[in-house]
Amino acid sequence: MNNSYEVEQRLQRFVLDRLQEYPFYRPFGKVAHLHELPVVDKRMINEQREQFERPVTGKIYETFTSGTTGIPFRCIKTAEERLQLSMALYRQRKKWGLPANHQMLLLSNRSLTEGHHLGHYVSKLMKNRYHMIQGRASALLSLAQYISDQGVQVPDSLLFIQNWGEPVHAFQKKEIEQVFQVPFVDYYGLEELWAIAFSNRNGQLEVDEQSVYLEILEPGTFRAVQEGEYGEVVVTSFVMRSIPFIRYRTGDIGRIFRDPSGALLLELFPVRNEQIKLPNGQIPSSIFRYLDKFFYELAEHNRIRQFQVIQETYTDFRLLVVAEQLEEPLLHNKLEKFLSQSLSTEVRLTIERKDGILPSNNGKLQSFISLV
Amino acid sequence: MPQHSLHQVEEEVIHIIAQLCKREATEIAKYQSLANDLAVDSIQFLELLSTLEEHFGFEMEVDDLQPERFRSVQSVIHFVLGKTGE
Repeated sequence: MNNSYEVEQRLQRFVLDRLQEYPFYRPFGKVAHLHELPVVDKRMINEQREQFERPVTGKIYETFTSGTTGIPFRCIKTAEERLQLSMALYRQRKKWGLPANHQMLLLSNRSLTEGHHLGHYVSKLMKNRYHMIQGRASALLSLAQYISDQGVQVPDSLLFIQNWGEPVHAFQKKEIEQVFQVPFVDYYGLEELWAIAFSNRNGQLEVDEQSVYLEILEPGTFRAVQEGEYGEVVVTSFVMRSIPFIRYRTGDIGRIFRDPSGALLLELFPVRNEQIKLPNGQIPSSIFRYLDKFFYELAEHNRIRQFQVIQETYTDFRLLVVAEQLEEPLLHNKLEKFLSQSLSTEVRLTIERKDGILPSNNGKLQSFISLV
Repeated sequence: MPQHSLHQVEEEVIHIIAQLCKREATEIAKYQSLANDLAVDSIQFLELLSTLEEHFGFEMEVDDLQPERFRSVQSVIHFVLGKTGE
């Protein structure tokens, strides 16, 4: 779907016509245009959750995310939504030749710096004819480097390598493609509503306009910017109905523009992927995603509204928490142990309760900052 | 691509879906939703696509993968009829 008019029509049909289903949107009545509705974010939905959920029957799938903002959020999807989102994902992967009957190797969210972890994945690669490998860019790079160092033969069944959950740097992409000898495919999405954009054959992120409607808005005023200008990426999902994501802030900066074929392309503002610094290297802070459920459970019990991990020295970390109450020992033990295991060294963690956590200089709330 | 009659396609699609869901064909009704009534998950969905391709001798195109085509048993039947030229 690359016809702007068709997209606008779809927006009208699937979004604006069903606003009355949600208490939050009822006061707005019948609106004519999306921009008459407010921009929402995790914090707003968390604080008024019951205003955003509609009653659903049947099986519900539950996951958790803190994303890059450190605001714990419980995602729910019905069976129908999950199937539609899976179909959308497969539709993108099929463009890269993935057959319906395929095998995928999924790399863990945990840090993959240790040899025995990488050896385990190589062993799986040798035994199975995988069509694709999916993982965080840093994990894929670790695997590629290990394979190269060990002189392992890459299976010829591979069609592509897919990034997930982490911005990719050009050098990572190049090295991964060199080792695996297949295209590196980038993916941009949210746990809340899955795929927003996927790499096309030119290596550009192409927005899945069947699943989402994207706006780029000026931070602060939320006015639409001109096509091609940078601003905050705000997304509306055509699929999600159990919780509506209408004009939902992603927290990311980017720009959109149509290519000559009419496809909507997304360019994200290069974000320095915060790294946990070690004396002999660094680990991406996206390993904290492994703790998404833990942080959400803390949010449920302790009403933690936001957190931020600050690395003050190689082994000293401070956890800032915006919460009404706090089970400090539990939080301290879990996080300190996680950090020690992930960094393979003893760390010291202090916890500090705050009334609020300010955005960084770039205006973005960050769940992790390194001062090293 | 072999020609299939309407009745044949209906029967065979229902049989494929029944096998996928580990049910008897008589338990599958055309109005039933794949996700909500038959609990077809994403892995089973891919299996369904693969089986339909193999059984009916067509290849799924990217544009075929529209949610409305796989919403219910009836919509799958309709989709297959379209692909088999019936």
